Amino acid sequence: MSRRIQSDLIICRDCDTIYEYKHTKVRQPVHCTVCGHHLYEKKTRFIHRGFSFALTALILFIPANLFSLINLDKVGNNRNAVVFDGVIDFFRYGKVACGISLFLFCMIFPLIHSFTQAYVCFGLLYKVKLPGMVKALKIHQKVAYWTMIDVYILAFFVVLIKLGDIAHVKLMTGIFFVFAYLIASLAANYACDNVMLWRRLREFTYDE
Amino acid sequence: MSDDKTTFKRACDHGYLRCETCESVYKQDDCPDECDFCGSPIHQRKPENIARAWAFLIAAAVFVIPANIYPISIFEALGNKSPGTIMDSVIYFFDEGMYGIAIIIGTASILIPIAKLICLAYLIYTAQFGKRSRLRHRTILFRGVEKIGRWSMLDIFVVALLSSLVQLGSLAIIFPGAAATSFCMVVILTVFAAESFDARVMWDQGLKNEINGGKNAER
Repeated sequence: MSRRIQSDLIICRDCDTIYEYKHTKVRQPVHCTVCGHHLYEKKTRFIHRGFSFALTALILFIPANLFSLINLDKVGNNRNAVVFDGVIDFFRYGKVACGISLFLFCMIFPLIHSFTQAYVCFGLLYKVKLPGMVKALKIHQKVAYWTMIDVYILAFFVVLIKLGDIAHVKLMTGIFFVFAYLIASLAANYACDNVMLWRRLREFTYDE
Repeated sequence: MSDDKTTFKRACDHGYLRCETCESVYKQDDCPDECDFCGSPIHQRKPENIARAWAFLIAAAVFVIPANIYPISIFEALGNKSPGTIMDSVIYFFDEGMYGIAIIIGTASILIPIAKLICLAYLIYTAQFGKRSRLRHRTILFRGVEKIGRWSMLDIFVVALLSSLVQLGSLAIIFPGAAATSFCMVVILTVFAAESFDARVMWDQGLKNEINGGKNAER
């Protein structure tokens, strides 16, 4: 359809330099010679790996939010916490903006991020034209910056150390799932280069 | 100054446009308003990038003040309230001898937001007035500012976890204080500022000045 797209060219995001798109070997990142921006990198079987890691992350995300992460035991008071408890507490004390951002950044966006990646990679992998693949990849790219599970894990360790000397803190099943989710989603991110994913999707959409 | 800086092909000089989202490249002559493939609008540069970046940056700078003055979390034990600002928690960890954690918290919640504001102000200022020095370094700085911004949310998440864990009735309660919302806004607004800034503008201005001031002014 669209012959207007110059698919043999690529333009650097930061300094507007034009490059010809060359078919490089795998694991040979192409950088902008002017400003050093990472342009694209072909990776081994990136659709396969992207799909499997994103699916793994998606599955792990369910127990990560159901099981409690941490248990605090002090003079008969027993408290468990899941990610969603933080949201509820922010709302209860009237910090709506914090509550919404915690809910979005640590629960909704990671879910969307993994789901859209799995969706697009599934379509590309099995050559199925799923509805709204372009839109899904667009959302995937937009949401990527705002998934903050890694920051959450760091916060978790800070809390662990802070409370460690005051009360008896016990790690629960949930945190291992959150950790596993983090590793799977990082692997999924690493497997797929966004530029390559867009190119593959464009080739797939226009000339079958 | 140097030849290689002016000989590379820039898309704006050769009449090419790029879709911000899907990296499709169009010729300027038959470029659609919206990308044929992904449907997002195509601009030569991000619209109103300098004005928007300044607006978000100033808004973020305003929120920095309440975020550091008011307590971010309030610890209530047996009816006594002891509010703690961000600085207090850093000092607490230093006093306890946990320097690693103190450095992590101090960096993530005090150093990064302030450094981000200063760096962005410097980048936008130099882009606006077409400074031509250190273009490459400024681009790298911009990329760093973009990447590091999200780690400032650390403090919000710490407060969330603490307040959902430490709820021991009248014995001890931790709950978020007034600074939490402002701090959240600082992080979000600085990210928006970085997002609306366009690194290509500083290359445009810088290279234009270089060409006009250099020997090949006739180009």
